[in-house]
Amino acid sequence: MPSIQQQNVIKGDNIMNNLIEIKDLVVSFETEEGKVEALDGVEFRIEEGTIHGLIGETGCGKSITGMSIMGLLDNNALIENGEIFFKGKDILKYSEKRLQREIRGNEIAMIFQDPASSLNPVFTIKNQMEEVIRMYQKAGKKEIVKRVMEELSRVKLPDVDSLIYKYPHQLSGGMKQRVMIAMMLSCNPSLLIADEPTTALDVSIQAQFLKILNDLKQEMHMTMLYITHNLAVISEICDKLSVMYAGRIVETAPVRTLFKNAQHPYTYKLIHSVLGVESNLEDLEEIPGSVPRLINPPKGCRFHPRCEEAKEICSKEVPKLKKIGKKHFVACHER
Amino acid sequence: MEDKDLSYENVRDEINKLKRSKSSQLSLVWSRFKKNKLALVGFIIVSIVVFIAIFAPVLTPYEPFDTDPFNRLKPPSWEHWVGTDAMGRDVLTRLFYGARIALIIGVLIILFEGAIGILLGIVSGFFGGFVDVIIMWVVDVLRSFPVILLAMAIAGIMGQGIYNVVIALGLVGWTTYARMVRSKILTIKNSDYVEAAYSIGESRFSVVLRYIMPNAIPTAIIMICIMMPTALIASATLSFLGVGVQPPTPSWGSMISAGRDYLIMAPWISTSAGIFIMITVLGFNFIGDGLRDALDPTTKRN
Amino acid sequence: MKEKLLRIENLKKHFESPRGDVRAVDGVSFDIFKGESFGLVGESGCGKSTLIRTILRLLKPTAGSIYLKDKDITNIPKKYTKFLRKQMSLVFQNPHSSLNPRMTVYDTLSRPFLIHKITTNREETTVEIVKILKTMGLQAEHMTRFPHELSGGQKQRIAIARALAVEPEVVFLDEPTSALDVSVQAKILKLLNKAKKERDLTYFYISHDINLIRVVSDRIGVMYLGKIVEIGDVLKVYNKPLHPYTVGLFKSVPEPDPDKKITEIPLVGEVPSPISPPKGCRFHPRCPHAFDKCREIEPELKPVEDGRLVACHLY
Repeated sequence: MPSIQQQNVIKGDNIMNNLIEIKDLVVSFETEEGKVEALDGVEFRIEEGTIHGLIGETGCGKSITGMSIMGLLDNNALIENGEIFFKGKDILKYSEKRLQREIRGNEIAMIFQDPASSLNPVFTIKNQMEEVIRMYQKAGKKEIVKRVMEELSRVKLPDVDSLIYKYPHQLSGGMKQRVMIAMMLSCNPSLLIADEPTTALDVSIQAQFLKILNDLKQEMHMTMLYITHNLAVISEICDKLSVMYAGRIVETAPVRTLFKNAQHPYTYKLIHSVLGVESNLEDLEEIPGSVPRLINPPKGCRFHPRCEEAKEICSKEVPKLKKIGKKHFVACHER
Repeated sequence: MEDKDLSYENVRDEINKLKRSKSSQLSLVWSRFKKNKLALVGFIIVSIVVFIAIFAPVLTPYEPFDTDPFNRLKPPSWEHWVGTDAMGRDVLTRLFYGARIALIIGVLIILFEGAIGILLGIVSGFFGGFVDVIIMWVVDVLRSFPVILLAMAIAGIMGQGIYNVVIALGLVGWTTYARMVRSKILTIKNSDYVEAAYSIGESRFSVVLRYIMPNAIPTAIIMICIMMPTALIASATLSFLGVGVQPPTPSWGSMISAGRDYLIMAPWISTSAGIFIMITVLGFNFIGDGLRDALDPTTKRN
Repeated sequence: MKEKLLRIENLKKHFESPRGDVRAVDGVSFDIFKGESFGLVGESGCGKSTLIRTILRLLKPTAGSIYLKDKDITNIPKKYTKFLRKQMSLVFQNPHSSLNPRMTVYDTLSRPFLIHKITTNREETTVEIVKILKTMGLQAEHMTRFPHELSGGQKQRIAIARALAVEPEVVFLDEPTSALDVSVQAKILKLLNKAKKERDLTYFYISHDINLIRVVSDRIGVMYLGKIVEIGDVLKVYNKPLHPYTVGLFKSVPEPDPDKKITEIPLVGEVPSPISPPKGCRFHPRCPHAFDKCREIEPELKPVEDGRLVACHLY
């Protein structure tokens, strides 16, 4: 439970319109080797009209967070605790049926790393787009085709007239990803979750994709949760950023604050381990050791075995996320 | 760097640990297998069947061929737990001796078809090209025949008997192994670690021996466990149809067949043999599934 | 003048496919000098992986020649390639798939020593393995592990150790950190640099990550659709890229800095199919400066300024 003071802080921030708010989410997985504590008290909120980045290394639980919001966790997952308030309602309590009817697709949509797996290979782009649009609005045949064209040109796809008659395998990875975006946007979702959408793309195609997303953000006042491991991509398009480590949020802050004034030792090292235009190898930070397995995670702060500043308390008590600046939260005993 | 650190004495402990860690691989497989309850049940079932097969003479006071004209078609009783058949022979005794026949035929079929199939699968997968085309063509042709009909034809030509059953079923059965092993070899052959092996100068022979075989063997073992029930059922089917093991040799298939005429009067003959087949097949299936999960951690649902 | 270790002349590697030959590498010439670190950047499908595998003679070249220390190795029969394996080795992109899952670290690392008869008995082999493990920042106890018992970074260090164990002249590194988390990337790169100094090695990096290539290389080449479009000193190319593709590629890379954003699309369109590359300059359909000559005549890679080679009609 957050302290009274923290609750006030949360209430104070609520003046901004939070589209979604995740509170103390705990998710575990039952595997043959034991219980994996995948998420342990994840909390952040996304304000309307912003792009919120969720960043972390392999296995930190960032994708599981996205799947939890969509209600698409695997069967062996157990949600032990937490609330996900979407437009003020706890959608974690919704039944599968209700999620499918009221949330998935029309309120929250998701795009994945591999667009090929989300598109049906035996139908043309036109067929698939039409079906999605028909699901959410009633309109005549001509009108729907017009919508399809509109949506596809919005993501700046070239030669839309011939493109709609193509099958997914005839498109490149970048184009498929744009079709996915168009398809998701055609349902007018309030929130779009993107899980590593550019990881499989080349840099030049990624640049095109990021540009389109940035434009869409301006035009449509889109709210988005952008999940990635790539800090450079985050800095391109996100307004606010949560850093995840081993199933916990260690720091949340506006992007600029985080890049210039990272407080958590992990965030600091992470930012300074990314190669930029001006970095050179000797100054590059490395984090000793490797990401812990979540079957038996370290006690206390999960980062403490790799942390240079670790004190005794770090191995005993779990640090709470506390506010240290404007919209800046950090989970570290030393801050 | 201190050279003292690098003397052999200092690393000897590690070498000894190395040996232990290799044996621990086997115990790891066993511990994974043990955790799977169905696999353990399968293991127990199969152990019991094997025990029965080996100690059949000790376990029962009767002989499988001892007829008793005064005790024909007797229902289960204290003297005859599963009753007697039309010739007054003790059914349980015949079931026990039938386990022998079933296991011997099963193992022989597996060995025969497994040896041919795995060898041809490796050759086909590794060498590819013309050899591969020919072998896969033979596989396709053989698989387009109904197995039982083909086996019946072969048994018809060569005569009946245990060994002919083995040959008849084996001649078709190897194709399944060849296909599975071939596809596994193809995956391994195109893997990064095989390319890496070539890149440090490994010879083709060494690649097969050290990289391809160790990674293909689990597949072969799993195949064998999965194919055992198929072999049991196929041999029982042939015996049932009268082209397999011949009476009076006790086999489960021919016992079902013999009991058919008395199904109303003495249902225990056919049903008991059927239940024995079912339980044994189930046991092997459980083991097969358990082994697959234990040997190949990558198939684990995660 | 530095010693030329590798000389590549008009190298081609085509693959047959039902829709025509895939021209993965289509006429590439350059030199690698002893002791340098050469970096080749390009996007997926540009042919960089095929190029190094052809130089390593893991693939048979379609045309052209490869000279290793002035010895023509283009058409050495397969059975004589073993000595090449001792001269050149390769580190793979994905350490999770490049190690034999059924071999312990000891077995994996003992192979190079045994194949090339660098050590003669088990004692020597073990000592050498421990030595190389320490170079890679690992301990003797790691010898007993199987790959699945190691983290991604540790696996890649084992893979690098295997490549160094043959005591090669030149090590090819195929995206050595792209399958790893950023926090371990720096460690791997620093270890590689250290090993290079200690063992007097030559490195040939390939990567799509321009910033990575910049920090690890002395000289870089830029590859597009089977051709090298620009080669030069790393700082010179970075400070002033000349070929329009190089310019666009560099601009496409997002900076980890919220104040620097991609404001316009640097490279329009997509890479054409290597089965039927565009006539003339292969980059002309995407090039903002293309003129008539570009659509007709393929530009040669020629020296322009400060020792740089560029294949573009603008220069």
